[in-house]
Amino acid sequence: MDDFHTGQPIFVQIRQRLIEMILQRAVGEGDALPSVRQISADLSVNPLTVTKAFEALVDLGVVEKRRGLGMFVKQGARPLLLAHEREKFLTEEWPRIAAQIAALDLDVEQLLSEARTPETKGTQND
Amino acid sequence: MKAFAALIHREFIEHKGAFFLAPMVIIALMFIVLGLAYVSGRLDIEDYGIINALPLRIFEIGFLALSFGWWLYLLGGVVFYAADSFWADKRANAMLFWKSMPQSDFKILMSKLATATLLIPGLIFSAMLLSGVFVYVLVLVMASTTGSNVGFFISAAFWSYLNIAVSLLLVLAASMLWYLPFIAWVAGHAVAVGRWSIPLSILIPMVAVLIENVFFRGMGPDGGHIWNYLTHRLEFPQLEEGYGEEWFFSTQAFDASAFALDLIMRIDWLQVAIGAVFAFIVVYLASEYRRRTIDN
Amino acid sequence: MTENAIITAHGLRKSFGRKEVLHGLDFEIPAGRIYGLVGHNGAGKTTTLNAILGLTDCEGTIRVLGEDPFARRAQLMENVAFISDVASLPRFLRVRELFALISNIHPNFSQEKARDFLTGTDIRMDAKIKHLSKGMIAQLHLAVVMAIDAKLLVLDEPTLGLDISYRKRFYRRLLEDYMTEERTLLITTHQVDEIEFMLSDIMFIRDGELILHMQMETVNEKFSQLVVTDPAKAERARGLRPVFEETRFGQTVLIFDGVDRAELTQLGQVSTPNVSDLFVALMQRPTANPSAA
Repeated sequence: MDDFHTGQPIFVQIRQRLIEMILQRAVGEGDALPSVRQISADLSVNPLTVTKAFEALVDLGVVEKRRGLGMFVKQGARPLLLAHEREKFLTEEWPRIAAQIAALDLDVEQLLSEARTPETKGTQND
Repeated sequence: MKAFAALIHREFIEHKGAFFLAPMVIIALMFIVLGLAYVSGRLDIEDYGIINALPLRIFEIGFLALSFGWWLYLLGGVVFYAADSFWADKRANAMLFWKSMPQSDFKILMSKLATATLLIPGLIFSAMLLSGVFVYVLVLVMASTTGSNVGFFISAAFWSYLNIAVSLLLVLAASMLWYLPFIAWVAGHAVAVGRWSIPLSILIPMVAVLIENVFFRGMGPDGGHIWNYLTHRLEFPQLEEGYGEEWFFSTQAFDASAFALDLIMRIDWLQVAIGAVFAFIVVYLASEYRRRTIDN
Repeated sequence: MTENAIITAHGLRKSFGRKEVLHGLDFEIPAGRIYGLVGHNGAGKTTTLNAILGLTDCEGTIRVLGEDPFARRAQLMENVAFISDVASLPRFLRVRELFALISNIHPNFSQEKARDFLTGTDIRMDAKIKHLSKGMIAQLHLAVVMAIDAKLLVLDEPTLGLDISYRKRFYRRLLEDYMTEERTLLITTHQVDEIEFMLSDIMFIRDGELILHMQMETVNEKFSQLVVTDPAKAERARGLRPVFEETRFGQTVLIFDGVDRAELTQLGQVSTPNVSDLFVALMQRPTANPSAA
């Protein structure tokens, strides 16, 4: 179980977990996501918090609620989500990481080639 | 009223040992002994001439005598049950469970009082009836070995049985009505003092009697008003007089309607009414006390 | 008074003899929330619960589902269910007799649901309750309570003395099968860390006063925990006036109330304090400082 204390609010952490599930294809487009109740019971988290985690995804157009059936991943969710997460990475995280790399006097090129060596196969983005 | 019945049913489950199983075991033993005596030929009663003469009367006296025993058992049992049940919910932390149920304290206490005055007498009544059957069988067997008029006995005793059964039911109802205030008095104390309720409910009136005799001696009858009232009120209407006497010295079978009439006239109904009101007030006060206590 | 408040209390006061145990509490609990009530023994937790459940008479006003609980306990219990830490089921009944009894005395109890909640446990319908283990009695009591269609569920230290697998199952069952938007849950527990993410709101009670009453979201925004290893930075942190400080394993842990996190991140690791640390922190404050959500 996560230590929900570090850094971000719980609903953000749950939301990120859901995003991961969709991006990693653990849940496909058109498939049902675990229900609010199930997640709430699994993680011992307040159902309202879980609902809030879903809300952001609903707002993005990635997830929809079907009455009586639960939360479903919409068609076209993955590319949409990928685009959104990429943008978030590029505007929020990447500048910070780039600054840290510079501050530590590391060589970006060297880091990348090490990351791509055969022993540690880099993930193919598609 | 489904809830009220369910509450009484709960009391039955918890107390059926003393008021159902024990009497049944006793009666079963009686029948077994009877069976054994018959089989070993001990019911040859050439010596018991009286049975020859009056099998019906012997049956009636036997039935009434055993019922009297059960009646005493009932009175003692009801008082102990009342004292126990009114604080039983405090034990093993059960009070919190009852407080979480949508039944008022008053209703719960009333269901216990109803168990004491309706269910338990009902169970003892069945014991009485079975005892009557026992005596019937016993006398029947003894009479038949002497060759007396068994046919007459069978039907006459049957009607007598019914008359006595009805009369016993009336006595039970009357006893419960008559002793209601005492039962409620003991029960009410249990809510506050638990197992000390019987001693305390005797002690308090005794103290009152004592006070009256010490401070107000000579102003009332001998022994004081309180003492006289209590001793009089504790006595069940004398059944040996009136119809009881009449029946005993006659040769007629037991007559329920005559008995009933006599009983109804002998009872001081005003006292019964006062007793009922007193009982109601006591139980109400006990329920208000119980409403405010959460100690387990 | 909020429209959908399940519980409202104004000036709730209770004395035992000359000792005043509750000093005029004011609070409102809206519907659909999961409330935690935290406090030391003797702080007034149980007295507050008793007032809510109509078990004791108090000064001031308290209304549960619109009713005065002390005056109308029997009626209120049709829609309020509660379990306390003491295993308090009638000992001389069998399980099936208990279910039959409750079906007859409780209009909102479903025997079917209760039996359903017992599947997967070792509890047989014929078992006598006095022969069940403590954990099984807790499971049984929970099954009974969850089979009651109540609007408010009050749990007073429900998992005290139970082993961890029972506790996990207990809360899991509650969240999975029972909590809906229409139900409100009020829990008191000493093991508050176990349930802190379940809570939507929290109340701290100390010496008969509410020293905190807030939504968990607000708590997480308002309070911050800073862990500092560098003594110099620790000094600077102290300058920001923490409400609590403790040194463990060479690290200094400080808790701040209402301090901007941006200021703290430069000094060390910033996170949300867990409820038990926050509780300890606020308990040590010299003055009671009631905060509203």
